[in-house]
Amino acid sequence: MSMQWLDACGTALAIRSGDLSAVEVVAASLRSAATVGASLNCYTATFEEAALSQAQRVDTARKAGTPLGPLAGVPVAVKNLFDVAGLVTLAGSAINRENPAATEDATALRRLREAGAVLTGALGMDEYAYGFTSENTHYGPVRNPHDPSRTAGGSSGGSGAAVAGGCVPLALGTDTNGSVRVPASLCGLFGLKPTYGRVSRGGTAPFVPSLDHVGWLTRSVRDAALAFDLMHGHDPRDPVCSRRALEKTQALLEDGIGDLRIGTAVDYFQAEATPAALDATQEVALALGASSEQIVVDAAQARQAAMIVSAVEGSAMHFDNLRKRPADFDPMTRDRFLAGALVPAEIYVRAQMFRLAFREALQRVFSHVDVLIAPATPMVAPRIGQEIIEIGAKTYPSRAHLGRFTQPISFVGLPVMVVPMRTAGGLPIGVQLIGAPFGEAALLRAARLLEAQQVVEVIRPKG
Amino acid sequence: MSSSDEQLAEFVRATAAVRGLSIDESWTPAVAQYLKRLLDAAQFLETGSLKSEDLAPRFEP
Repeated sequence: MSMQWLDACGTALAIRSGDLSAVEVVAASLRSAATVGASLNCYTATFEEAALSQAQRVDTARKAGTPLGPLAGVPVAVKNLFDVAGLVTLAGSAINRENPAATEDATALRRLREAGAVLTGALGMDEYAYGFTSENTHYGPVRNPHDPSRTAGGSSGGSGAAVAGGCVPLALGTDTNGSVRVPASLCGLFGLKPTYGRVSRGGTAPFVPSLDHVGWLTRSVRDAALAFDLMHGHDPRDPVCSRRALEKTQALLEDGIGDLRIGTAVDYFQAEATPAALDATQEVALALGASSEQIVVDAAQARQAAMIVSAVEGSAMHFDNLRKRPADFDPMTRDRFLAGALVPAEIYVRAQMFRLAFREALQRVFSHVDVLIAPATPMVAPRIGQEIIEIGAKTYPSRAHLGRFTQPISFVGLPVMVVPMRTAGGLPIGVQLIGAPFGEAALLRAARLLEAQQVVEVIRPKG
Repeated sequence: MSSSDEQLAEFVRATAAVRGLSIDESWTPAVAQYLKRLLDAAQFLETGSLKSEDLAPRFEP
């Protein structure tokens, strides 16, 4: 296999063993960014000089026998809402171009760099992360490597396209309502969104502070586990970051699922979805031996409440600019931000109270199961600009409908691993493995079993 | 435009003015439409016996 399609662990191993040099790996990643990445419009910045210089240091250290970090020489990229020292953090906006450059890396990026990862670029997204398709009026839409006429998903669409397009094996994103899980599903990748507060958001541009999570997209389960092991843990830069003890997952990946109770989410999670999404979910449930069906009561209301919280908190983050310069917002997000600024306070309070009740209801579900299976998106990637999706005899707004199955889950901060499947039509679609709070290890073990049995697979784009 | 749509558009204009937001007239229908979606959504949020003090930070768990 060419180095372009190795996973991060495989790339690191090849560099440690001397089969590949870090310089040639990083140079190849930068070439892909300039060619594939440009055609997919997934990068907003690349760091040629700094990346090659760091790669050279890795090669020098290896030749000198200096111990290397677990990601030494591995190219990575980040959604452009992560602070990168020396770079303006755009967060998909035009307004942020006027900001000074960040002086310090985001904590999650710093932890990857401490493990030897080489940052090659920053990636495109919806403005201020408010969307599921990475259609951005300022910077153009991010395209799906499997079909460039289709969206890569959002808001971490650049992260999905860069990994699925073969530019980097690992990219950081963030997930507020599904923004890691939707691109993972539409681009055919593994996507991990840990428990709320498990991974620091220090040095990231917030969208909805009470819902924002850091997550990542990878080509293998072992990469998702390694990234988790490297990045989770307390950080004073993020006030909600958990003080819970570190829990390493890599050594647990081959433990199987014998002790795990696995269920399938039914009712809401089987409705308003295409057969492709339901078939993929059923296949995963069969492979994992799901032994119960669970109804998540009030999931539809949870999605609605998540929309309210997102609009209100999101608009609060940008209220000054909404007042002073609304015309500078992307028309794709502006209407929703403005609407959020007009919501009566009673409605926001009710949505937050509902959130407490819903969290208790979901905790009851997780007294019966350790892993809950549900579709990630109701359908494969829609076309860029597509307004309506028809499912059965009904039509839905295609952009918003992408979040149907992800929003209720992130609303209460549960960890989720998305695993990729191939549909009969050839396009990918993802399935969510949802865990109890801090249950990332169980999700990674289940995902690894599916990967080993080749039930799930990362599909390389044609051509 | 129905009378309820017009009422909502008027609410958008009036509330925006009070809040110091200048919403272009061409944006108003879309803002009003999304606001209506949020307002409608809130009607179905059952909060049981929870009260707003349940949202308060407390020193004991």
